Amino acid sequence: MYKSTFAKELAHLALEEITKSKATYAEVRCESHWSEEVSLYSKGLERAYSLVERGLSVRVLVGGAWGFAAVSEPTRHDVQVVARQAVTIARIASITQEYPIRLAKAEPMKGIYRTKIGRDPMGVTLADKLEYLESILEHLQRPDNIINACVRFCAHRVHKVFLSSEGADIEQDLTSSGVRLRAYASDGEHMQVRTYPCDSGTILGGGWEVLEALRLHEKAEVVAAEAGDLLSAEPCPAGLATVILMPDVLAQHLLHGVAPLFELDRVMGLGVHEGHRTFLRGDNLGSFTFGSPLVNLSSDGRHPSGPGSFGYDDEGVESERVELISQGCLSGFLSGRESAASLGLERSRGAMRSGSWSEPPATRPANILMEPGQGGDIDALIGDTRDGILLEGAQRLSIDQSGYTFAGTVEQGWRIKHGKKVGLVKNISYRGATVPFWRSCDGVAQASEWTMSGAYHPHAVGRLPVGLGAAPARFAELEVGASPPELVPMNTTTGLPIVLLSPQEIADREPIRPTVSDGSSSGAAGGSSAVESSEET
Amino acid sequence: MRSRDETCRILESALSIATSGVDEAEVSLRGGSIGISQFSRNHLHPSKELNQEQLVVRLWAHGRSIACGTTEVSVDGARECAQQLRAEIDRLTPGTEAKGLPPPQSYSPIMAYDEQTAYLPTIERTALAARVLSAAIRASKGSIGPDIYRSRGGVYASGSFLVGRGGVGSRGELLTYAIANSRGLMAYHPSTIVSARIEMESDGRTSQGWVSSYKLDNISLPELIEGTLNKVLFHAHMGVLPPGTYGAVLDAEAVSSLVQIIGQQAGLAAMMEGRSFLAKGLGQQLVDERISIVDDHSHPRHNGAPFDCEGVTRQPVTIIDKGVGHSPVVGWASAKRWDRSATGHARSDDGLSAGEAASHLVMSGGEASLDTLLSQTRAGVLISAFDGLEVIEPQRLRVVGTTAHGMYAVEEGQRTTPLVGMRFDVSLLDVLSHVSEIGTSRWASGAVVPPIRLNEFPLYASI
Repeated sequence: MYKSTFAKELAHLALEEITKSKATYAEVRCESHWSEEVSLYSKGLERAYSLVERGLSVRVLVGGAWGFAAVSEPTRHDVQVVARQAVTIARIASITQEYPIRLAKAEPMKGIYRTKIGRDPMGVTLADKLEYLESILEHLQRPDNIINACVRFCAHRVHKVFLSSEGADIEQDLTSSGVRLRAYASDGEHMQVRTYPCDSGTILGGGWEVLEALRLHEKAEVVAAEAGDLLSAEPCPAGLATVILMPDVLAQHLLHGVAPLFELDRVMGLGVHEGHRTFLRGDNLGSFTFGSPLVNLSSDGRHPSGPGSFGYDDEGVESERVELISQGCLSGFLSGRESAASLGLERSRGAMRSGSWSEPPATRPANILMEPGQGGDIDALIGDTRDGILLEGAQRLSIDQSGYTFAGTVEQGWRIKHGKKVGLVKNISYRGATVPFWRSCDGVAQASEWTMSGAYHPHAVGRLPVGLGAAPARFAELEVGASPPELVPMNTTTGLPIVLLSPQEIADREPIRPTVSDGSSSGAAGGSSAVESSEET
Repeated sequence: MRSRDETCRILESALSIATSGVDEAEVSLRGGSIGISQFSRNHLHPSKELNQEQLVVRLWAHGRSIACGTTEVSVDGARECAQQLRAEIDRLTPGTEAKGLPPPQSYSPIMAYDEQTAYLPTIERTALAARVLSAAIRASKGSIGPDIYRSRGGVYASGSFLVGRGGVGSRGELLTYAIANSRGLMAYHPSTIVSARIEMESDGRTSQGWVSSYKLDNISLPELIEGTLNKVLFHAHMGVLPPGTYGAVLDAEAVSSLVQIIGQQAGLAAMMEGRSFLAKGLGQQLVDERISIVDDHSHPRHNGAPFDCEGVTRQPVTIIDKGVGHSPVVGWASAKRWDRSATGHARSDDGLSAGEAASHLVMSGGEASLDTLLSQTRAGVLISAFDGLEVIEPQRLRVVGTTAHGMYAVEEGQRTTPLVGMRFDVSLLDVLSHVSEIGTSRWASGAVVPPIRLNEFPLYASI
């Protein structure tokens, strides 16, 4: 890790260099990342790897356009070169810039933020980690029908220094730790897998104590037993079903299918180069019914156990809780200074994050939380279900680029009949459309069933933790099955049965376009509260 | 860009430090310099210039192996890594991992470096991006593009131009470009990459294009722009199809993403552990007998490194031969574990091997052009590209995904109305068993593959 004083010295040097240019705004991040992964597999295979990355990045606005440059292991000379490089890039970009970039006003923050950790995960020796993980692996391998098992530990720490030309001066130390357990069972003919808590594992904000609190030895025994039980389970029946999704399955939906929709960059059409879109539009705010009244979602950058918690985003804006859906209605977006100004919003909601010093920030969620409901505990939710399937052990989830639809798989399910779990089912796939799915939510379990988990952001470069909190929830109708849906061959002897879309239906599929404020509209984009990017300012 | 001499000096110094007091050691270098110009909906994003290189040190002692990576690519960085690793490894109880790194290998040189591409100035790269934006804006005004249809809401270009040197992949991923180990293996393969991705969008429809090469002169930007514009701007209407099974022509880009899934699932470890289609498919007729799939890094359109992330020489491997499951690809660790010969296909994860994958795929083709395949279709769909693909059952290569980027009706042998994308859930083995015609192979989105015509392709929900 860099010492704070050295990191700050480098960042100041970069800022000083930029002040020689006509930049109207500049920010410098100097970061040290330390990641560690230890994986143990059956048959003595293991992987123990740590990576230390240090780098500095500069982002500047010159002539209304962005420039960004970064370098690893910077020297004092390097940071000056990188600063000049960023300015040059911005100047070149300004030649073709369609409209000047504006930033919503932000208070220049000064502060220090650190994740609270009980035991530094990097301070635990590899010998201690292996001993602990080996004991868990031993529990995973106990049943005779387990042919392969794996336990993986990971931890990540980043030390960030952020300085801006507006006077922001921030230091942060963010730590997350995670785990995944997996067991493969076989009867010689077929194979089944169970993981804890789901295919991608989980990460939480904190240190080694996070693992100890998860009671992993117990979980290992459950996972191994369930993998074996699945071998003799019935295949999942096909058709429309009422489903109860356990928190790990909901977490997958929150991460891949929900949170991205609220990223204002996407709403403005600014993430299309990476295939990032959303069907939500800026003018949906306050009027669009996303889910049933039981659905309440927020992004909370300060949740105590959230792996995505931070003090300040990568534009130096203080993190906060943003209500995204209130009683089913769209109530907020994840924004940064540029996207907020473009949409005429008063201020950024502190959601500009980057997983690496080598990447400019983009709007990303912090901890996406689905609020618990009044549906009682999980037994009450099951007891209230006449006919349905409980799904757990999230595996894959495919989302289309705009988030209209999804298709996924889970490891196991339980048939529910007359309020009771009556049989285990396997090989489960399901599919649906996002809005009808969330509007069909008719039960959310109480706070005691609420679980926090986390994952690294799937689209961010580097490691960017996102918290995912949910309680079990019930949805009235979802298409499930063990196989793809049966489709009849279309009779095309008279041509294809195409239904043409109207111009309005086509227009509804497009994102809104970033606009240049003429100064007459209200909000940050309207004038005085936004940072002008012209060189005269 | 580090020269061979400089690279060897760093690796040899690092190795001499790392080898002391352990059974075996390996050091490698990955990454390099990357420049990216990005744009979304006719709006330039901050271009990026970055230098991202890592030194990875791996040690074996007492039946254990541990590794450490650092961005400090120097003798000091290697010393710091090695000291940290030795301090850890000496405290460990003995393990059971067999030692045995790859011995020195011989490599056939592959030309994959171009000086002009390596040092393309930022302004020239940005100018390339600007040409795409300019084309989109002119197409919006109707001054270029096909005459058939003028966009109502404008044409919007998104995409990126990436230029890299050292060990950089076409998506900006870091690749191992040099490696040495204590058994005397030494490998060095610097490369350049230029990768242009474009997405055109107009009136709710999209089309994509991607070209990539080690040499800037090998890619034709006007052709890429014209191709994507023509796809997005050739018809005034847009339609929706009901769910059902349709005859389909898959363009090479769509076939490419399916074939790459096959490559990802073709490793020996996955096969031996029952997680691959080859687990029960070796020697079995899996797909149409006209289909053969080979992994060949030396194919002129791939120009891949002659070694994998462990320094093992890459060899061509026939994965599917005339429709029959033929051979898995094999990395060094799996070769040791199951007593096979390594084919140089270790998959890199943070510079360390993690399973295997085939990533230089070539699928056999026929003689027909895409237009010929379309002309033979009375009523069906043309799928230009797939999106959101996820493998949900690797044993059967069952895949879910969407046809988000360019699906069109084909009527009386002609491409007609653009269609709203649809979802599907298919077994690739089933799909590739119902091929009625195979077109001419070409490079498309990372693989050399042909377009194909299918008797049936199930599509079940519009997106």
